[in-house]
Amino acid sequence: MLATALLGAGALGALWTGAARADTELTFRYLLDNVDEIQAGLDQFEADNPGITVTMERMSFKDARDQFIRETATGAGPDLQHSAFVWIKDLGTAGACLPLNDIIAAEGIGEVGFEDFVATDLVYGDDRETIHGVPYATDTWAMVYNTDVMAEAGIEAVPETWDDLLEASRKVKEIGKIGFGFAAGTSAANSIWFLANFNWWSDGGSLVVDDGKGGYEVGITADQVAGVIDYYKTYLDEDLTIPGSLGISAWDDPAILEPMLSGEQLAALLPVTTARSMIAQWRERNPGEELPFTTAMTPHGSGKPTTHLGGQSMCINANTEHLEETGS
Amino acid sequence: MQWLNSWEFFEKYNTGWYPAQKALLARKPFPAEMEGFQKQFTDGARSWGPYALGPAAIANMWNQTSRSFGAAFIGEKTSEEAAQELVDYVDNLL
Repeated sequence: MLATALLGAGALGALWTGAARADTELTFRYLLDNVDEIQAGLDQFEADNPGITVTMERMSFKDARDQFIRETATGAGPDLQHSAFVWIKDLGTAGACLPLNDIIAAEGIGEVGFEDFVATDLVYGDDRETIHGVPYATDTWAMVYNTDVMAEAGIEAVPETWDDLLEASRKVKEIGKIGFGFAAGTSAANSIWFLANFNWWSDGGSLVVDDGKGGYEVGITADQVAGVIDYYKTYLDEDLTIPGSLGISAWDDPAILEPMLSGEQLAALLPVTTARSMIAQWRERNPGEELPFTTAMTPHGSGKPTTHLGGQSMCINANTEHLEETGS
Repeated sequence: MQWLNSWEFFEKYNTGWYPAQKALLARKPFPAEMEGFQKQFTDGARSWGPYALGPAAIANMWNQTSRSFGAAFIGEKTSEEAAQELVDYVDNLL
């Protein structure tokens, strides 16, 4: 904390690109499972920056936000915290993340600059000016179609609209297969939240909008919400989705992925990492064969296809005593 | 933080994830079967924006959305009742 507090604006120009101090031990708390890749990158960083060692701490996403707030309140915590996109405002408001405006203005960030990052609207504090973190990695969802099933059902092109997807699913049911497979369950980490929002957003609605007066309001009518409930309910009522859909919540449940892999299901709406993993799994099972998948943007209503940019951010601990090295 | 946000880091080490920078997303190769995702990233994705910035916690809206949808799915409520319940819930949070 002391080192940070003593840094005036005049010192910031040398913070991130200056020569590193010798014998500095940094801690980086990382929340995902690909630790071997990240560690290899950190090893390279250490080789390029003699005198700095980086210890990677692990923690689950579920516990990380509250733990970081507790630690920083007592002057502790890792120098660099891996975070979800949507945590940064809360972490910054709690005083856990170092304000970065002056540092970014002086040194820049990323390959092109701060304005080139996605989802920067999520890194500001309540004043909508203070930058509390930097987006790091992103993901989104899109449609995956099994092209063998499309051909078998006589579907010549991927559906453009939600109604097209429903009709395509009905065609697939006629050949005894599953149409659009999704999880309709209601556990805490449910999928229907995403399916609902993608549908609303592509049709001019949004559960929350900026009211233009510094506050927020509901941006969708109950009729619009009911229409989307009815839309997904149709799949359940007409058996156009996976059996047992109401009993599962995860988008990557085997009940969704296995029928895609075995050619028994037309479509799934998946995060990019899940889609990549599923496709890799198919290739392992079917070496040398032609891939029966294509991907496409989500269907749309009266507007354009819209999914969310999810992802991860980084925040520098407001208590760090190693700002130069952490920022480098 | 600069190193973790560099092209080299994403190209050589964190290869399974996509950088949150438009210039780097444009440089990252997408195999043919993943082109739909590339289009979605560049032409059809938004941040949670007001969802994350407003006073209503996303987790609460997420849970209530599934509860309201679920109630309609199993016939416990009509779609109209479930929808009104959700809209009123979020309105109260805001």
